[in-house]
Amino acid sequence: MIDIGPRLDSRLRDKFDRIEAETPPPSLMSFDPHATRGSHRLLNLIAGVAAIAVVAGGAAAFALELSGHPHTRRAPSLASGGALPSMPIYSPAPPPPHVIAPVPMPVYGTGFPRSWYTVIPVTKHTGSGVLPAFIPEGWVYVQYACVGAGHLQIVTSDGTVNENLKPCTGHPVDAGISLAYGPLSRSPVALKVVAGPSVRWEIVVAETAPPLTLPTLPALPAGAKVLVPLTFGEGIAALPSFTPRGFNAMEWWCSGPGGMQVFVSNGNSSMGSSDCGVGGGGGTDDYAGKRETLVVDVNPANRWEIIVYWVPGSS
Amino acid sequence: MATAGDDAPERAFEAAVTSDVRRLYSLALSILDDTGEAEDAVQETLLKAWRAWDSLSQMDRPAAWLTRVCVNHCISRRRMLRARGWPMLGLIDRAGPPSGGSRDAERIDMDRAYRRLSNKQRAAITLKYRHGYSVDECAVFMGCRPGTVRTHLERALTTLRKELRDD
Repeated sequence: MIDIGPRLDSRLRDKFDRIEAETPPPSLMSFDPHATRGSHRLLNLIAGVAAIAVVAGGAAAFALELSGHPHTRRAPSLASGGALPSMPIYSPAPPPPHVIAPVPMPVYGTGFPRSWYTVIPVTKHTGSGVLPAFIPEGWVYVQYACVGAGHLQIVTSDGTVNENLKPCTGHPVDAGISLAYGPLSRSPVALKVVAGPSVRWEIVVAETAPPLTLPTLPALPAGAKVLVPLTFGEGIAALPSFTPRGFNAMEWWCSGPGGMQVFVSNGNSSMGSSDCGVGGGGGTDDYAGKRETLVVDVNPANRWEIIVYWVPGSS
Repeated sequence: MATAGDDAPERAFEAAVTSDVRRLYSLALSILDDTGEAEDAVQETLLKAWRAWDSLSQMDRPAAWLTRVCVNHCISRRRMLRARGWPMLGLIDRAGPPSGGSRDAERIDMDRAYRRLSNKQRAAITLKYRHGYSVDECAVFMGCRPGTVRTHLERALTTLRKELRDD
């Protein structure tokens, strides 16, 4: 008999209790064998066609992207473990234009992933004002709070950004995160905050710039054998081919808006996805067989890193 | 045109398997650790049951048949690449102790460790320690030898202990 131990037993029970608390989807509770079979086939067909189309389209877009910007744009760095570009230099933030009476505003930075970085620290003001200029390298988000009548409007002089944020109230509102702005051109931009003369506001600006330093991926399990070494890239790219050995696993992280998908290039297997800029992700794939190539599909400006490995004896 | 008699097999099938759906779903979810894949696995199991309904309806223990089909479906097919997000590390670091305290942290650790297991290891762990089947019964459900089940169990527990630093 294999001894499991009281502590592990307790944690396993808790895990299984949580699993059993999951309610089966309604489609299972009202199972219709006639309807299910047809839709299943159709879904498989659609998924297969879509997967092949996306891979083909992605490869074409990647080729076009490279050929269209041979001198002005850095090619994706696919060298394993290669150094990431240096951090951009931003214009220093000047002191806040006005010192306003302290109000119980929220704690800023909550909701911003650690990989983003602040380009304009918390700035307080009353009425309209222009924030310090900076050089955007990626997608820009603002987090804000305001007190008073009306709402804040975020605009840029070239009109690239023009958004009305949520209405202010008589008391501090929750610090909301705006929609993503961008990708903005790599020239200095100054965000202007338009507000009523009596509206007090606080704002912080962060961005998911492409040349950011991506976070460290989780440590691989003991005995793991690397199939695709740590690889960095930007936009759609194919990874070095490898021969799957069984319990293949991968860990990744990506920056910017949207998700990240990983396809097997032959279209036989589907994908994993996560929200870039929010957290890392990964996937597993029980398969041993012919040599194959994985394709990473993300927004063209998104940077990513990925490592693929297998653990002998796991399956 | 359908008649009342045409619906009889469907009604009998539904009456027989409905009570097993929740159990099968939990089983599939324990092995696959993904709600979408678990739903697919149970649907496939129910479809196979429907196709074999003529003989299944005569069995003494259709639940055991369903379990075997479901387990085999979960561990035999090529599992799709699956997303599994990490916790938002930055937020956790910033937020301080969550309301659930160390219990939430333990659950996150457990989820992460559990994902390190292969489907076969999860199947062995689930059948043995959750459903209480003997190693021999687990072997029947999984379509392998009892010795193989023991190997899966030992490796799964070793991985969990290592990941959870529970030596």
